[in-house]
Amino acid sequence: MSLEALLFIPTAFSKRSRQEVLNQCYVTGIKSLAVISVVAAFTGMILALQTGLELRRFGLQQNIGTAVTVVMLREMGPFMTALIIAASVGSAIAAQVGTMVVSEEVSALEIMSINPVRFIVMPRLFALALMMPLLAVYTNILGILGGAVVGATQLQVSFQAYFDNARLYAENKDLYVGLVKAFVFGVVIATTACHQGFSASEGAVGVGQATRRTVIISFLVILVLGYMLTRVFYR
Amino acid sequence: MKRTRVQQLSVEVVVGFFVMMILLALGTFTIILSQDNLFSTQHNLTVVFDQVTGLIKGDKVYVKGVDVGRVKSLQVQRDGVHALLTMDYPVELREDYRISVVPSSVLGGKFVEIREGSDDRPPLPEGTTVRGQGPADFIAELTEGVKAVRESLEGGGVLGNLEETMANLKELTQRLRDGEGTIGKLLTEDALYTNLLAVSARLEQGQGTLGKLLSPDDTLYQDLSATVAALKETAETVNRGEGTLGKLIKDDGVYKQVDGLMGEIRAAVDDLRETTPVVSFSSIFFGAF
Amino acid sequence: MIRFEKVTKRLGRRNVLDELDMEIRPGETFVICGPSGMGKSVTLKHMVRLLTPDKGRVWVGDACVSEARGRDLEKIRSRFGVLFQGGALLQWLTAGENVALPLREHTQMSDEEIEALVREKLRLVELEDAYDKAPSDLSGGMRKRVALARAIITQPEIILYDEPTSGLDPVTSRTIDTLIDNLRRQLGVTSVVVTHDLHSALAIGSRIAMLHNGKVVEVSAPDEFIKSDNEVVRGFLDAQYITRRGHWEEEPTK
Ligand SMILES: Nc1ncnc2c1ncn2[C@@H]1O[C@H](COP(=O)(O)OP(=O)(O)OP(=O)(O)O)[C@@H](O)[C@H]1O
Ligand SMILES: [Mg+2]
Repeated sequence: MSLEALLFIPTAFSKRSRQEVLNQCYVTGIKSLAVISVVAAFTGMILALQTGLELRRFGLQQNIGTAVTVVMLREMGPFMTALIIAASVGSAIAAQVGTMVVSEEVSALEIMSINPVRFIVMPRLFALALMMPLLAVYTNILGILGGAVVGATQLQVSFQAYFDNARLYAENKDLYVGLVKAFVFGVVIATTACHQGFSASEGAVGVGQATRRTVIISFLVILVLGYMLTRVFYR
Repeated sequence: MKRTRVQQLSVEVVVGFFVMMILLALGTFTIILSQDNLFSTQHNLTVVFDQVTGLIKGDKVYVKGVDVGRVKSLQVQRDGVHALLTMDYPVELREDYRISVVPSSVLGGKFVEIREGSDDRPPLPEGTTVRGQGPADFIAELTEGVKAVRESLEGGGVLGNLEETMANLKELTQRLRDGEGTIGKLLTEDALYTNLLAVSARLEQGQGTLGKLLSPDDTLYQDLSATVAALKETAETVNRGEGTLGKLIKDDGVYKQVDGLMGEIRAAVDDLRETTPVVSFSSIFFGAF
Repeated sequence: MIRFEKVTKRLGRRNVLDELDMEIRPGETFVICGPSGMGKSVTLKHMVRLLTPDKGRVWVGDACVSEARGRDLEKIRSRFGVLFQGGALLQWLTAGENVALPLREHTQMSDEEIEALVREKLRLVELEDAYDKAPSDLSGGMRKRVALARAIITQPEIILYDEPTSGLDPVTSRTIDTLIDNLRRQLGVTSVVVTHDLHSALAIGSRIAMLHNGKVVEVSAPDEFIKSDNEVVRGFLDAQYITRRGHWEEEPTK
């Protein structure tokens, strides 16, 4: 189904689809910013504090710059973003698509010879695949800043030292591998949510189940795929 | 969700703005992380090391204790490791230059230290291969030293010698006291003393070489006696296990302590070794989560 | 026009359709009635291949829908307009956008042309002022009328109505009945109407079929339908106070 949706990606820019694609981008990207901001900042702060306290025992707390940056870029940025998006946007998509199936809206589309995959899946897939990496960048930035604040206030690591240290070991590879992950996670979430939505059985119970399954399956796939991608890029 | 045209327009604007901002941030990020300082001229220097013992890309370069640049790349070739250093500072190497890899802490991490050499020596000719020294491995050295000390103590070295010497000394003093041997008799038997007196009397009269040697006063005897007394005293002290040397010989506690100390040092070194990977950070974080 | 040949469909644990035979003629308004849960909606869905028969065939003209695929199926479906039981409007589009959807997707018309057409159809269902409203802001009956406007906007030759008047007040119900009748008269549209409401069935139907236990137990023109001796039909008629003589004149004044 996702493959079929990919075939329709070129139509994302056609006039009739553009508006829906933009709306989906807005829903996934902009509406999630608030919660992502909080989660991202605190992820960075926790990372800085935990590693900082540990490193301070060796007098190496200035290394939190590297610690937070590398971990945010490689893992936490994409991972946290994916979890939030799966829990909020993914479940919402599953509920919406499930409701559409149950209330015969999908049937109505079929009668009108409107391919439901193009009409429903493609905009969501496109939006998630595009917005996830962008959101991951945003998460990374906030997380790293959060770490810097904790470093400066709790661990006596100045901003200058923090960022110097971060620049020392973090590479572009870390950043872009993280973004590739975020992209993959976006595809995973959209595919899972739409698939579960389309296979929702009759009634509100079916929709609820589709929503629940979406969150669980997305989480598991994100974790496992995250590990495997790490293995592929860093062996 | 119904939207009027105006709302739809604002959706487009917001999404567009967000995408632009993030792409801008991404670009900035990329430039920062690519480690190149775009705003100042860089000076490159290739140094060939026999080995670099864990120097990695991104490590700092110091000149006169000032952080002036980074190790940009490391290439292993037949004649050694070619390290490309980029610096904000143009180094001028003299003939007695010295470039070495220095450990920055016990836990690992290295930097390159450049000493340009003294000004009165001629500058290095253009095109010569710049060679650098590998690092003195701190941990390796420490372990080496500890091992040496340990061997000398354990393997019948210093301690064994000391023990042997003491035994000899003890035996010697014992014999002296028992009146064995010439000096022993000298100390214990009257007859000999009398003989000696007689001899000396004769010597006194004969005024021979020995007589001369033994002046009329009893200085020699006095001296000898005092020496022997002191020796005896020492031997007794040692026997009673008093004093450092005595304790060293009588008490195996010290030996045990030294042995324990060695064990501890070894454990400490092992610990250091084990803690080093902790500096490869990820293990800490995932411990933390 | 539409022909069912021994169509059997098993859903859940029973045969909802059991060797169903039925023929709908071109240009007529064919009414299907029957007790709730007897498979009326299921029958309609077979006509546009939202369900595929386990056995038997469904023909539309000389094309076999139950075996068509790809572009052929699309072609057959494009001849239909369908009003779903619950309306099936897309929730994130406005009423106007919902009605405009088939035109937006399949024609090259300009936005102005589309809007004009949409407003015209909404006026037909007496909902012109709902143009900018979201489906969630409309009542069930209003949604159904918007869905009706969407079903007829492409001017299909066959329109399937699943309970077009249920949940509507009597006055609006009659308006819809009139609309369905007008479409048949003026454009020669073939209609299939599923309804419980025998008053409107008798008013607009060319023929009325009674579905029971997966079979058509009675098909006849309204005049004969009310005189039917079939037990199920009689029970249905009696429940709506319709006697053999005529339905609208003699409603009891209870
Ligand atoms: N997808 C499905 N899966 C399983 N059973 C189904 C499915 N769709 C319908 N059914 C069953 O088929 C039977 C007929 O359903 P249908 O919707 O056609 O009834 P109906 O005649 O339209 O009733 P109503 O007048 O209430 O709309 C019902 O008993 C229903 O439980
Ligand atoms: Mg029904």
